[in-house]
Amino acid sequence: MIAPMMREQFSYLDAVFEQVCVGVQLTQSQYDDATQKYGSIGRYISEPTSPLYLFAPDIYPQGSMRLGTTIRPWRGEEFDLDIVCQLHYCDGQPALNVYNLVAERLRNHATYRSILQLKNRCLRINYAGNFHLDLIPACPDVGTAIKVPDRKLAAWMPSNPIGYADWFFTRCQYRQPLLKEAAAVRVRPLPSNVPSDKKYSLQRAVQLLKRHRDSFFDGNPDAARSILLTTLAAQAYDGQESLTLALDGIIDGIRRLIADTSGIPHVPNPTNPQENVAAGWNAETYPQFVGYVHSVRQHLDCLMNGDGIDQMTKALGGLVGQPVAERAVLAHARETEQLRNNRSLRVEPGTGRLTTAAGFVIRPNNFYGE
Amino acid sequence: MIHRTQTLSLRDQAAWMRLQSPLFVTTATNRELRSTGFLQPTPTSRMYDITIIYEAGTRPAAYVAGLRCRADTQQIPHTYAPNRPCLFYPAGREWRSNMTLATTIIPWLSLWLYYYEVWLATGNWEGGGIDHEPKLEQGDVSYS
Repeated sequence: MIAPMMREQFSYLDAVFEQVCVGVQLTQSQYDDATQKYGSIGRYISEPTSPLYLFAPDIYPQGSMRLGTTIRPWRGEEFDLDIVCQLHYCDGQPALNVYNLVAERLRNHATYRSILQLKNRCLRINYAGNFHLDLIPACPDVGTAIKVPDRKLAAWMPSNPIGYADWFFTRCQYRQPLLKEAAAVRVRPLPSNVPSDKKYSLQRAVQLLKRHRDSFFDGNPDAARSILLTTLAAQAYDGQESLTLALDGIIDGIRRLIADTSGIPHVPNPTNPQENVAAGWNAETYPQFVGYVHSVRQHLDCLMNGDGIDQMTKALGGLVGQPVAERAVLAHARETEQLRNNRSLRVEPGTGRLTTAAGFVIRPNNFYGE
Repeated sequence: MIHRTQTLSLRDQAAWMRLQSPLFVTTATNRELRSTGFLQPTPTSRMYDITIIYEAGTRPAAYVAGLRCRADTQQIPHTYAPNRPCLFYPAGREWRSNMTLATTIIPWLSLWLYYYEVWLATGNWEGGGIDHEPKLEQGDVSYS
């Protein structure tokens, strides 16, 4: 249990971190664009004239869009949206048949045909403007579990994106759930582009970890996958409400895992313990991941011991990039200025700290001089 | 219309200061009030060593030790001197002698220190204010 004083200690940092998350998440137009394309393809697959209609397709997002942990693509990289196309009544169907059925439907569309790319476990639609949509054909398994075709193996592989998201949101713990299942709707709406300040600390922590992953690895294909970072973060998260303390706890949890494991750790998928989400770790990639974790820890130490907003901004720049850090500090300053203009900004009598809680309301003044 | 303001004596000001800002050390004679203490506008900010000097018949002045300038410029925005922020617009009746220091100068100083640190970090002054250069009509406010 963290004393209130401790929480107070990072109130400014928490506020700036929130601005960072707003700064690195999808822009509204990127989000609207993705939503529109998601809606179109969903309707095309499930409309009554579609041969897939008989299989009552259920279209839903998986991965970071479902978890609310998307961030803008790192320079030059593409933004991708993973959506599941779950058919029903396909018991006994060979995996490749189901894959080909969905592929066939897309090939019959004038636009999709020309931008379709067949991948091992999904059908990729490459849109102009650094955006692609991965459509994952699937059939139901037990409970929320599904099976997805693997073309190389010509076999079904287990998956459970809904179960994973349920687990993730249970780990988020505090506050009200944001994502409601729209059970009756066949094509489910994408979770809205929630303003970052309406998100759980764990969601924001994952966004920040991903952002530092992107800048640390800078295009290196050995970078830790998002599902690995998300799983490790959600496992280590201990319900901290302060984003700073959430990150602090998460990174120490991951460091303990590293310290306590001889060799390379396994990270079982919480919804499918047979699957190791850290399967990509080997003698070459694992040390790089350890380096990344140390890098987060070092930057966080500088941030938490920050002596002045200017020093803090430098340390934050190391974590999320200097322009993003400065924009976040300025965005916070503009919010503060608005509070001041609304006469909601106060000063704590003892310390002189700015606050919106109890204290002397700041009277109108104009700083003078050049 | 004439505003009648009951000027607080320096000894009364000192008494209010001790009550409202108990962490500051405040002394007063008939001619001068002097108050020293520390301010930290946010938990991430530095702790600033403050001296407020208020001479009878003048306006209060606040001094901050250890202010620094950005490498890319010569002057800290909104200062009379490198250690003396301009907290209010003298002609604007923002400060009046019936007001207490702890509800005016101290909050303004804390706010100034916050914007000063943001300026150090980004080069942008986000706190608004009025320029010394009287290019504007009196009473006009420029938010730069």
